Amino acid sequence: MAESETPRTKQRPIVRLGLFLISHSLLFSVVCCAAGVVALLLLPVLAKNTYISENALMPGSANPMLSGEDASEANKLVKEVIALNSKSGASGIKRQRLIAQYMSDLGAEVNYHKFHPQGVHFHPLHFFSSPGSGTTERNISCSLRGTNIVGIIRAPRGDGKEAIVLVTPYNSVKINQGEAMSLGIAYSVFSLLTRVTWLAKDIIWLVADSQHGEYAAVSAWLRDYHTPVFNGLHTIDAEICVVANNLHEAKEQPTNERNIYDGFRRAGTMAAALVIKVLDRNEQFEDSLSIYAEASNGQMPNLDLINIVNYLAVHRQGLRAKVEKMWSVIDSKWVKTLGELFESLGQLARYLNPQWKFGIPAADYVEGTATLASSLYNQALGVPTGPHGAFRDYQVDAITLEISSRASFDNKNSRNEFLLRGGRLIEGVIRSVNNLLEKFHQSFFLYLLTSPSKFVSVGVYMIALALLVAPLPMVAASLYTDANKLDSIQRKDKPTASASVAEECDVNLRSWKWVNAAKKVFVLHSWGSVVSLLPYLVCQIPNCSPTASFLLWVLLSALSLLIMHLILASPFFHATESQLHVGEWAILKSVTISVAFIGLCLMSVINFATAEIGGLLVVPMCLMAHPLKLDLKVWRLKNFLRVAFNIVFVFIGFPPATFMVLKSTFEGFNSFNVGDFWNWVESLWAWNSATYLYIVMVHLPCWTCKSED
Amino acid sequence: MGFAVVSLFVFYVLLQQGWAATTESNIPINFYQNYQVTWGFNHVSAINRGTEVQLSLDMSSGAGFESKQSYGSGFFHMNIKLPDRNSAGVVTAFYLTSKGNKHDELDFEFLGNVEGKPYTLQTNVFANGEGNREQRIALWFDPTKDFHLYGILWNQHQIVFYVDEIPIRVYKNNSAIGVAYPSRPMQVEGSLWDGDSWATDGGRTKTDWRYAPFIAHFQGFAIGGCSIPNSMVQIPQQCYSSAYWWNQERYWKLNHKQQTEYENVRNNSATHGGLRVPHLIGHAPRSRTFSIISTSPMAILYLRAILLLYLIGFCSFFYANAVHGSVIEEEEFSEELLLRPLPDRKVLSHFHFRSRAPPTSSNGRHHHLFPKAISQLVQKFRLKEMELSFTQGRWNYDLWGGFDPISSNNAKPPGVELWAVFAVPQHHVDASWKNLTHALSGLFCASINFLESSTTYSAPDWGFRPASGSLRYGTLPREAVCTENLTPWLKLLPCRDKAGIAALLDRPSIYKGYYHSQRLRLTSTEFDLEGVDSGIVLEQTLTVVLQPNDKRDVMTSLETKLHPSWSLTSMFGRKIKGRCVLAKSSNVFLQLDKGLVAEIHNMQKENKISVSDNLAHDGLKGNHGFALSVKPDRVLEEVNGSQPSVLYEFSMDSESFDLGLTWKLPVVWSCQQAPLHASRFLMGSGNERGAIAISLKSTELSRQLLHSDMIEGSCKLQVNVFQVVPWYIKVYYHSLQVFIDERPQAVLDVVEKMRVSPSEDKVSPGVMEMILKFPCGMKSASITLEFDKGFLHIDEYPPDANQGFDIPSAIISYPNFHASIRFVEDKSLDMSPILGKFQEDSSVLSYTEVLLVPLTTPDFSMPYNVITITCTVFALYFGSLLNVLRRRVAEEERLLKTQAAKTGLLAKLSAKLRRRPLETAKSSSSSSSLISSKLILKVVLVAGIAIVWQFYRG
Repeated sequence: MAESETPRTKQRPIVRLGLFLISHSLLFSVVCCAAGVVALLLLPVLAKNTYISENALMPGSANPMLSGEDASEANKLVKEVIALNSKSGASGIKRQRLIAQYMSDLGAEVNYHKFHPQGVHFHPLHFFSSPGSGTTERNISCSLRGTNIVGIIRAPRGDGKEAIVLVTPYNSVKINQGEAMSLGIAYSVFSLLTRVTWLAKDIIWLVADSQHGEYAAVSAWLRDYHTPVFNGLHTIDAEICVVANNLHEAKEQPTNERNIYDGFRRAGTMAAALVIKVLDRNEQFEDSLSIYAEASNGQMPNLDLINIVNYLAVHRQGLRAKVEKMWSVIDSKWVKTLGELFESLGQLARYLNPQWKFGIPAADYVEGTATLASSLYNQALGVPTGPHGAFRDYQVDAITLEISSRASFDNKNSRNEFLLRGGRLIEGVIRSVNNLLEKFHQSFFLYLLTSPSKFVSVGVYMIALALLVAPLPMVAASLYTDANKLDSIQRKDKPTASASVAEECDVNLRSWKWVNAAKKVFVLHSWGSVVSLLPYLVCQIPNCSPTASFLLWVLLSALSLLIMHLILASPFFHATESQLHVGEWAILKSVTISVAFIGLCLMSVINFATAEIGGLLVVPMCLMAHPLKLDLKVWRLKNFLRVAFNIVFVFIGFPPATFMVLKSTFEGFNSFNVGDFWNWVESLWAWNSATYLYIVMVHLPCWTCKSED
Repeated sequence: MGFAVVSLFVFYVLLQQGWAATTESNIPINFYQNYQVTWGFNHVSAINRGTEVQLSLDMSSGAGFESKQSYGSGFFHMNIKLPDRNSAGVVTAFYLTSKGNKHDELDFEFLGNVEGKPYTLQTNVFANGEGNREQRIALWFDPTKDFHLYGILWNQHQIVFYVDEIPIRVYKNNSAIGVAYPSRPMQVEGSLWDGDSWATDGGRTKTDWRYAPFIAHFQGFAIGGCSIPNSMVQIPQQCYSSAYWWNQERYWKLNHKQQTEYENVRNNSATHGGLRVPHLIGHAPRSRTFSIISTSPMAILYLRAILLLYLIGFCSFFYANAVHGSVIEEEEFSEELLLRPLPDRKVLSHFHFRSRAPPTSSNGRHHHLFPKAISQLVQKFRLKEMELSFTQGRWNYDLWGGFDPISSNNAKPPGVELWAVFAVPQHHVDASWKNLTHALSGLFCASINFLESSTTYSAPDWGFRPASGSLRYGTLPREAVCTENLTPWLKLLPCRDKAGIAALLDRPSIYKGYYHSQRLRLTSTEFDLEGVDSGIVLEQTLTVVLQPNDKRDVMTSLETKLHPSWSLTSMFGRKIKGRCVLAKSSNVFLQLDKGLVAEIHNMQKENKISVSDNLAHDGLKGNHGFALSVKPDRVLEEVNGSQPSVLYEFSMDSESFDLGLTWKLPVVWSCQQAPLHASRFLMGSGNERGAIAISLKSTELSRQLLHSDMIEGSCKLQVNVFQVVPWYIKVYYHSLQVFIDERPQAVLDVVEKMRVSPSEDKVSPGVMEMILKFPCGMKSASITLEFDKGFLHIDEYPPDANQGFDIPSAIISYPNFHASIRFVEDKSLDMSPILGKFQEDSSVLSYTEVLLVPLTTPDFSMPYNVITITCTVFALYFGSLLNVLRRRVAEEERLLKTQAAKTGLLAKLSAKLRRRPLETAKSSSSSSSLISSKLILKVVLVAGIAIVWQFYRG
């Protein structure tokens, strides 16, 4: 007790606070984690109403100019496009020609954009690189090509620096009613915009050929728009693909297709993009509009864009705006109970002070939670929810609008009416964006939606994660100090003659003890990166079913772990060999926890939702982890519980298992297949999702550390 | 004509008496030594032994004398004291004049005035029979009190009128550009005569004969001139030799002192008789013949006849002058409007106003028609050339043509473009430019002054236009154009928009157009060293593309896609209510493109209608393609080319004019394109890097070129590219890549010449000038340049930083192609300005799009957060610092010890709570001291207050 002899100096408050927290880390971590979970559950209650932040937008301030005439013109297009379905032969090309003809009749500049959809190819170095930098393959068959039709209206008095993009995906081979209607809506707006004088930004209408996927078509066009490749691909195309040259023949018609240009036409920098879709099935209650906004890696468009769409849809066109919900959450009992609890709490608060506006009706809470869950899930997944995701890669704000009608499209009047409403909505949005002098910047980019008109901003939802993560460094510190202390006590117990020299030596040794643990953790994380690269090899094997690939991957991972273990002098079993040291594992745990903490913090910057969900899984696991051997030695209830929890957490924490559990809870057990995980991972690569990186480079090693323990 | 006869006659009659007088005087410079009286012998009296001569004027006659010899150059002067008292209507004259047809003359004419009002000195220059160059000046002294010297210096370079050795008027020799210059032997003359029909107050104040006789005194009869016998018609070369002092180089133009004196005189004491009516103040016949008259009735009759002829000749001459005005020395203004139907159902209207001011050196700085603000600009900033354009919208090179003079000259990039050439030393150019931008921004209510900053303008060397280092070029792509800019522009017109063609400019309808470009082009030769001074020419053009009201019912039926018919009223909502009376010419043109004319021809052939073949014979009026509502005065056809473009000319008269065009059949044609279609775009994504790409695609023209020149082999298409890039776009010029037909090319194979001045951060933009030579057979070419997006300092962001940053248009020009249309021309010099513009050989040129580069911009709402954070940091820092400084360690330790002695109840409690023995708590953790009773008390107190407050306040 050398220190206690000297009078203890009073330390600074902040240090004292730190020490206090460290010494009470258990209580602290329990409280914080609980608070974190509660904060997350409170988010729907704390959500604020959206408001239009940018004054220039002024949605709905002008009366819509779209007339019934435009709608009936559009209706004609719809009918003709659908009529081509019944005809055999090259109806796809005919349809393209028809649409292009309609566009050019309006006075727009039209061109065809031929593309080869780029296959999903995993490349380890592809993450975070700019889109489109990939090489284009040469050996593409002609059947695997699509043709987008692009129409551009030049703003009569604009300077052509900016453009607004309308996208209507359709299947050129067989168009369905909904796609045709979306074409109709876009056409009616387009024809109006050729006549208006207020246009300040150019309008691009991209009719995306979705026979190889909506996203692929849009992203191919965007790639060519932003990074054209001057390597003579077009000339090669022309030589190879004779069939597609029918389009060129069509150009021989002199007067009618005068405006159709074989080059690539461009307008200026894109200000915003709207993807219009019409749902085929009929809505039961009323006309509704679903908004999809999530782009890759959980990026969201500016909230103002959603706001204007929502405002116009609800207050002008009388559509019911929706965002995606997680239906399983709505049905679950516990959420309902929670909602009722919050509601009664709110009532209590109001009873105490009528001005305290806390709490929402339980039904709202349930809805909000469902939406929030879906919002979190989609952002965490990092896979765009529609073709709008392609725009986000070029820093263009974009959303997908999915309009569905109550009435069926068989009736001409109802069809007209629907076209009019949809068209007016799009017109209003375009008019608002057109008003915008600057790009979207006023409103939020980081938010979660709890309903189309309610959002949780970054300042609020950060709290949940911060609370969740906060115990990690505290626990790590306390573990470290405890281990040191334990060590020193053990040393103390041994009677030694040359105490002072050994002590000094010991202090030196002790202070460097964490290096050993860090080495282990580092080895594990490098194993994680090896695992992340393995699918590249697995992909090379042709004709491999997802299940087989997945098993192969697991096998290879295990193999590599073994190899690493052998090569790197088996750092894990070092501890067991030397007498099982309590301090040893504590230090290992503290290092692992701090690494997990750093990983989670980094991930929260890149993709908050991933970090949040990951935090929910990792943090309890980290905190509870305790060597089984130690627990099994002493057979007590506390230890037994701990073991049980550990086993459960370890099971849940294993990524494929997590996936299975989540999938089964949300979708039911019937669709249960090991290969699904592989498919899921594949889709993550396809979207360059950072979630994948997170899983294999942060989550998996942490999990392994834990399970090693 | 009659002149010579009269002179001879008079001369003959009075010869002998003259000689007698000469012999009488014995002083070396005697009147009669060099001069002789020509008329009014009894009104001439020589005094002081012939060194002074008095001419007197009464009801019966005035008098005149002339030199015995003619002169080819020299300095001619005379000391004159003018008639005093009420001399209204009396004209005293001292002048040089040649004899014969198309005479030359240099005049001093002193126009008398009623008592108390000053004399007016009128000077005039006749050359080759053309006069009309009167200038009037108020003398700064009383010429009746004393003798003053009036002199005329005449050499091959200039004619200077001196009053007491102060130059009051300079007439430069601009014969190189067709301005006539006196070139005949002239005699010196002096006279005194009655000019009350015109001289004073325009003839309203008549001579008051009660004050007769009026007497003028003349002294100083020495003549310093290159004398020639009267018989010679041409000036011999020797008169131009520098052996004569007045031919020496220092008399070729005014020296500095004289120049300032001259300017002083012109600015201060010159008066003009108000606005001059085009039909000149009755420049009365040279009426020294008026009152010879007393002697023979025969002579009177004879003279009257001659006089009448003379008068008629004179008047008709003036009339012709007023109408055609081939005289450059006159300020003039002309207004014109060109209309052209465009293939995409729109109509191009091009307003062209030209004002012209004679050179200041000879005509002074006072203008009647020419806008004073502009001439001051020219003088102050020594502008040689300047062009300023305000544009809204984009010129559609595809549809509206890219190969005609209008698109080459008037298609401008959106926003403001300004370039100017200065006649100042190199190191003054920047200063002049900066001052000019400020002056212009005031003049046109635009933020042109932003061009002052050196980051916004550049000094192209040869890429923009062939100019030495005195050219500056700047653009403001973001400047919005509105009526605020149009109104000051219209104020420069003499009739503004109140009369004439400009009255069409109804603001709502012209701003509704698809393209609106208002341009001001200034050329001045004032500061040319070559001495060719034709004054200032100001061209104001307004190019508008309008969509005539179109009933949108033809959407469905593609076949009957008739072009909308239009008229001036339907497009502008107004019609022309007559010409601007101040305009010399006022015309409206209707141009039909080559393509359109050919198309109409084809249609006529197809329909087998008897082809008159000659569209030029107002044939189109009755032709079945379209009909005009007004019959054109003239139809002009392009000179060369198998498919001539046709121009209808309508002269404006006083009655209202409303041209209308009604289409009868649908016509589809296309305008002629530039050799390559140029477009520019940005590549890449993200906030770090990017690339500018200019893509050039061949058009029909270059395909034709390919066919015609393929045989010759090495055909090259030359393209000049001029590109200015602001400094925050850091272009890597080494990354220049050229692709031809989508295949990469070695840069050196294509780039003939290149000049790059890299940008300097916060100082100057990057400028790239290139000459590219492409093979003619090429289909497409692309040039790419990579760049880094700069990171700006917080105070360098503009107010609307989130809009992104502009890269101004690049200029693509084709120096080997000239956009000029030559219409069938009668040889007359007085071509209409628009036709003149059409004939000018300007190279084909096009502007590319303006690009918008989004740069990383900080969140400007951040300052609030930043302030909060900085305040926190500062508070923490200073707090801890103060803490350290203030703390007394020893004292605290003592206090701690005393506290440690008595452990409080709470400490025990807390220790129990933590399930630890009191000692360990004390020793192991310092936290126990944290929870002191005082602190808890305080916390509870505060919390209690807060709860109570919250509860009751709400």
